[in-house]
Amino acid sequence: MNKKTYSDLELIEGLTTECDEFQKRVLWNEFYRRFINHVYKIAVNVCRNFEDAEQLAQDISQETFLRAYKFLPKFSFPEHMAEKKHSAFIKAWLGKITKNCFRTFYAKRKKEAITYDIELVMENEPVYDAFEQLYGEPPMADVNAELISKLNDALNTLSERDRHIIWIYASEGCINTTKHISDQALADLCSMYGVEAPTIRQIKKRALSKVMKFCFPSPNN
Amino acid sequence: MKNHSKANSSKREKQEELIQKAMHNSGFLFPETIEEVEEFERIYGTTAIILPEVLRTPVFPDDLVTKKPLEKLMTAPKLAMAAKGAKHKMTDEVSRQMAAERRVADAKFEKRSNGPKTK
Repeated sequence: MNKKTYSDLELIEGLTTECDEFQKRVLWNEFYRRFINHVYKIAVNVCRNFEDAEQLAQDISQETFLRAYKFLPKFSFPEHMAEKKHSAFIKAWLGKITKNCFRTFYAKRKKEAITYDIELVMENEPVYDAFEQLYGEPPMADVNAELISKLNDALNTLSERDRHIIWIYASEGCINTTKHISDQALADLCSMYGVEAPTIRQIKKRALSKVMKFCFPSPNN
Repeated sequence: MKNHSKANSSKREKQEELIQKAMHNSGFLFPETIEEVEEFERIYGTTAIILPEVLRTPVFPDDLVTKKPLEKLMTAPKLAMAAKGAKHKMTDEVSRQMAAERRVADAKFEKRSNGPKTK
């Protein structure tokens, strides 16, 4: 028997409208199988910079799909969007959910294993290479290959705390010195690391300077 | 002097922009727009990867909603709690049985801990 192939649009329409449970299960299974690879790949890619990368990637991938199922009724494609863009649009949407899951899970983990002694966190962190173990060296974009390589090296020189703070700033598009992250994100960081907001800003500034020096070494240095 | 500092600041801003973009390309950040997804797929490809065991089978979220059967809600500990709340309604026979069981339990505890049970 031939299995019906659903387009992305059919999948979303089927999952967002009322249908019988069997049909919904079929559609959900198809949706999951179609996008789990992407979600897990991006999760592994980001989590490799943090402790217990594989477990974290698995947890956030599972949670992403649970949240996606919950939010699917509100999902729709923009009008007149070309069909070939649908898949990328769903992946971008899932990317946003995965990012939020990562933030929640990482904060939860930190709170569970709470240690407010900031000096302890500053100890040398091991290099987490789950991604390399699974997929080998990550490939690079032609244009920025050298910069990306330097950036990865620079991020590896940071402690996990500094990397996480840089990640939060970058994920809010605030790497630029003049931009500030949301009050909520700043409050979360303060509570997670047991420090005041100026300390978080100072840590970000120092970590970013370190990254910049690594990526763009001044001829005088 | 002023121009020099302005040029430095503009250079730094450009470098920061490059860093932000490189963070996306290197996979340090999640791709959240169609362009970022396409760039990610251009760099990392769309080939299927080996998923860990727990992710291979889809879970239907509705199955995770726990439906407790009535029998489970009527389990022994809850009945015992109910009995404690309705002590005055218990028959003499049940009260005697409970007292006997309590004595046996206390004796066992005493034997194990080599000392009388402190209440």
